[in-house]
Parts: sequence; C-alpha cells; structure tokens
Amino acid sequence: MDILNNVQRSVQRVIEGKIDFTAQKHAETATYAILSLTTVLSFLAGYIAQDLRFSLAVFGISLLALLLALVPPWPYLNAHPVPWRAPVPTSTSASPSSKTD
Amino acid sequence: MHSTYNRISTILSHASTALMVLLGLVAATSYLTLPSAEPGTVDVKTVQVYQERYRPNEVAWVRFDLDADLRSLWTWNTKQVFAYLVVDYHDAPNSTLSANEPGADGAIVEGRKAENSIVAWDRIIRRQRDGRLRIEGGRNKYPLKAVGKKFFGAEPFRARLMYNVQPWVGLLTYGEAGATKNVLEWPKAQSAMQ
Repeated sequence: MDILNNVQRSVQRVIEGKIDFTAQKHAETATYAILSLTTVLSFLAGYIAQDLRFSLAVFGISLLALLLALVPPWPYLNAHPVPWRAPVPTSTSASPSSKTD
Repeated sequence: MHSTYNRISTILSHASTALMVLLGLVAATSYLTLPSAEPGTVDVKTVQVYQERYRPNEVAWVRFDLDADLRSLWTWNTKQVFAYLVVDYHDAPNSTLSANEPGADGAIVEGRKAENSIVAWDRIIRRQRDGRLRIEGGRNKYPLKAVGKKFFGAEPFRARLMYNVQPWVGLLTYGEAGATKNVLEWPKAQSAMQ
C-alpha cells in the first residue's frame, strides 16, 4: 500500500505540475514573447518561400516546442523554491503524534 | 501558470490569437500584392440561335477560341482559379421584358435597355500548370437563354473571359483576362431540330 500511495502521489504531482513563482512569471513572459516572434517569423518564412503550408508548419512546430518546453514541470521550472523558515523547536513538537506524516 | 492545465490553456489561447494575426497578415499581403493576368484573346467564331418548339426563350450556341495564360495568378495564397466566359449584351429597347411598361401618366416611357451577362463556359483550374488556356472551337457549356425571350434585335454582344481567384485565406478577387475585339451581331433564330 505504501508503494501504491507513493506512485499515486508522484503521478499526481507530475499531472498537476506545480512550478515555482519565478518560473511562473518567466513562463508567462516567454509565452507571449515567443508566440509573437513566431507569428512574424512564420509569416516571413512563408512569404520568402512562397509557400503557405511552410508558414503554417513553422508556426505549428514552434507551438509544439513551446508546449513541450513549458507544460511539463521540468526541473528547471522548479529551480527557485521558496525558502521556508527553519522549524522552531518547541516542547510540543517532540510529541510522537506530530511525527507521523 | 501555476499548473499544467493552466499553462496549456494560456499557451493555446495566445496561440489562437497569434494564428489569427498570422492569417490576417497573409490575407492582407496577398490582397495588396494581387497579381493580374495578361489579356488573352477571345474569338467568337459562330453564333447560332434556335427557337425550340413550346419554349418561350430563344437559345444560342457559340463556338469560340480562347487563348489566355492565367498561370501568373498563382501565388503562395492561391487555392484555385475559376475562369469563365461571359456573354454581355443589352436587350432591345422594346423587348418583352418589363422595361417598356406604361408610366404613371399612361404614356409609354422610353425603355431602359436591360443589360445581360450570361456565363457561357467555365473551368475550375486547380493547378498552376493547368492555367494555360488554349481552346479551339470550344462550345458553350451552358445554353445561352435569351433573357428577353429573343436575341434577334438585341444589341450586338461581346464575350469576356473573366477569372475569380480563390485564395486559401482572404478575399475573393475578380478580374478580366481578355475580351472579343469587336462586337458580334445576333442572327435570326432557326427552328431547332426536334
């Protein structure tokens, strides 16, 4: 049961995909910047190649790359964890009931 | 941007806006840099008008030669080109259309000549290499029915080769790629073979 619980918890963590606050801010800026740039670049690429399909391919591939880079909770998106204050030792924290996780 | 679902949602919604902007840019540029076809030649060789029994309207058949190059209409945003031959003529002033109805004071008003444009032949060109039109002795695909019942007495006609560029994204555009050099007279109707 313990192994099952651990597996369930890690699967949930990957699906939920929480990232830290700095990464959230950067991800949003990157999304807007990269998608705007992609629009211009794919238009220019299609215009120069005179091929509308090429233009849409550039756009689609960039979008997929962006999704792949930002959607899963990669370790680089969790590089700035919030520093927690060290636990304050008190007399009640030594009781056995609070130790069980 | 805190969770997977939230990131997917944000990226895809911004991507749909970006895609619309991209397609808008494509449509705007292709409209501003619209190509045109060099005028080709259209020759109407023969015109025959028939009066079918029990049918009110005369029907005309033409034989024509077409020589036009529509390949220059293909750009990166051209899906296909619709080419069609239009026969234009004005009805006779006293034709059976309602152009000559009595006015409010009972007097006959000088009739306006109804202007007619009939599509005689068309072709959908899907590929650039099919854009070279060279037709000798072509016949109209659709019978030319006299809108005012009779062709004889109507003003002479001319034929124009028109095209309609259908883009992948953007506006439909129309153009002309040649016309007959001189106007042609309508002959008298023959009775059709039954």
